[in-house]
Amino acid sequence: MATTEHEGLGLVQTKSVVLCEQGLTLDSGITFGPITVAYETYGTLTPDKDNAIMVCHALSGGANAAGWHEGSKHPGWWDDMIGPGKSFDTDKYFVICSNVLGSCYGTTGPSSLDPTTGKPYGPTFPVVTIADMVRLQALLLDYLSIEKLLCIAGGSMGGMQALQWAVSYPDRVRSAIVLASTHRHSPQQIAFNEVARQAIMADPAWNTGNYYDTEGPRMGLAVARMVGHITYLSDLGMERKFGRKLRNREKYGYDFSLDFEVASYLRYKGKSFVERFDANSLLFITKALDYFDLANGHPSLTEAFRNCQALFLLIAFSSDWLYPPHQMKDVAQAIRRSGGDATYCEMSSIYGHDSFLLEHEAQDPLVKSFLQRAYKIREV
Amino acid sequence: MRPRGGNRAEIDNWIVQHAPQGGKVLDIGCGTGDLLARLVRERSIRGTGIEIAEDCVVRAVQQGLSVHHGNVEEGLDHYADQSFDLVVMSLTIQELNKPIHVLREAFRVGKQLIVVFPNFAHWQTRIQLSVMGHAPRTPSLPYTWYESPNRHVLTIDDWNEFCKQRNWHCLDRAFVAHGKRVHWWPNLRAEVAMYVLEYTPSNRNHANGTQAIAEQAKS
Repeated sequence: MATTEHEGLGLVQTKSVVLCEQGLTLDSGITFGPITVAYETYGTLTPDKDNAIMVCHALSGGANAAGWHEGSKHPGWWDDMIGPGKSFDTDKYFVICSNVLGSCYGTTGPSSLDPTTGKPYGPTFPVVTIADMVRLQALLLDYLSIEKLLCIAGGSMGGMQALQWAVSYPDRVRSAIVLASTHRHSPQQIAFNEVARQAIMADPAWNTGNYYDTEGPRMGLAVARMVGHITYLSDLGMERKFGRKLRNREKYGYDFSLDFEVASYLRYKGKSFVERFDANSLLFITKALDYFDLANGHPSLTEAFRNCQALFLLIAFSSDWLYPPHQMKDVAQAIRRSGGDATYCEMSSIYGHDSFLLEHEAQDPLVKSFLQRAYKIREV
Repeated sequence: MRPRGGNRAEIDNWIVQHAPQGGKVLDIGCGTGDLLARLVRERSIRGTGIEIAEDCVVRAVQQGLSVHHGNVEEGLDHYADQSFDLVVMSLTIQELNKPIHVLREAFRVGKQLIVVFPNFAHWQTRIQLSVMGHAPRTPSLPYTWYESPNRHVLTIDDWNEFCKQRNWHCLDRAFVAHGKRVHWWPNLRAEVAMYVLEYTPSNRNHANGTQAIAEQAKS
């Protein structure tokens, strides 16, 4: 794991570009723009432009996928996987990551200023979908003058974007790596998101989304994150990490102060999330997740993949109960039945949904060999 | 996982010889993918494998192969009818819980099927069981009774009868012991038996075989 700023990619910077001056037509039918897109690139694009890989972040991620920002205590969210000699080897490949539409890390979202009013969009921001996020990424690729991606990759919500890319732009994707993800949000996944949204909306400080001149729904957002965080872990993972350990005490307090280590950890996670994320962005992005159903608009999931040219690498994790392996198996099945090429692997891990961010050593041989195979086919 | 025996090279050579050039091949129980990788190199096949062990799946992907990590006994729903020119089950059927289900599925998705299995009627196993009174352990069946992954004990005669009952037509077969071909008394002398079975609707002149397979595969 990188511990100093000098390891891996070293210092990196987020770039930004304004796209869709004339507006982008969204799934909802609304035309929205202009849109600022925050993105980062690592490595060098070949003259043939055939080594571009786009990585897509999950719910709370941003454009900083790898390397360090000036003064930051942490590297990018997938720094373990992206860099010189790493799985996504920046000595070989040109890696792009952009912040999704609706987020709060530089790309236009509900906390951005509406140019027509000079105030944050707040609740007037349009509801966006995973397909809308992907449309914007495709426009970023146009802006970068890259026609075809060697690979589109991501975990969780990033995996949904990767799948959507392969279906929406079959001619622009040579391969796709999808980790701990799904082809459609299940009732259980929607249910957890609904709890998260209700926590925010029940906080009076949310004020129907108009809170940018106040501190905002801090408690609501913290609780929303706590719920989310539980779903990212596993029973065994929590047992190993916390057990029933008490926090700074020998005996139960017999009150409602902090007794258990796990409770303290969740509160800390909730609190630190409030400092870095916008409550409205969480509402909009969880809604985009809930609307995600790749088969929508197609006779079946198999038919959705019918025109795909891409090779797929699908990785699920045994202890991931938020996006359980059977969903990824369904994806593999649909791809194969459509005549496509899918490799599926269920990795054994105790880290639950978070495995895709933590099990980089186990993923490394799969990702490296798969990318090599995709790169080789490109030459034929 | 497949047992390591001196017959491996001979088995793989035989399968490679019988694989259609440039065809589509499914290897059920592909292990680390050595056979598939060879088929890609030597016969330019488009191949894919199914393997239950995670470490083997990783090794197969490292060989540049497309693999499904899973239990074949859950069915071959992933694959459309007749989508492979050849399905290979090399030293796999004896380890399956319900081999007949998997064989039927294999005939559904594949036009030809290669089945390789250890012959439990080999003279060494016969002597160990009948004279010495022990559960047999031989180079091709190296496991103790408590560690053996083999759930089913079959012989060449059993297999012939089994195929005959189902009208599965044998296109070619060969027998191996100690890494060499066996031509006489295979049920006594062969450690391993290898069969190519066919089901092609266009090839109805075979015995009464292939049509029956088609019907059975669908039932």
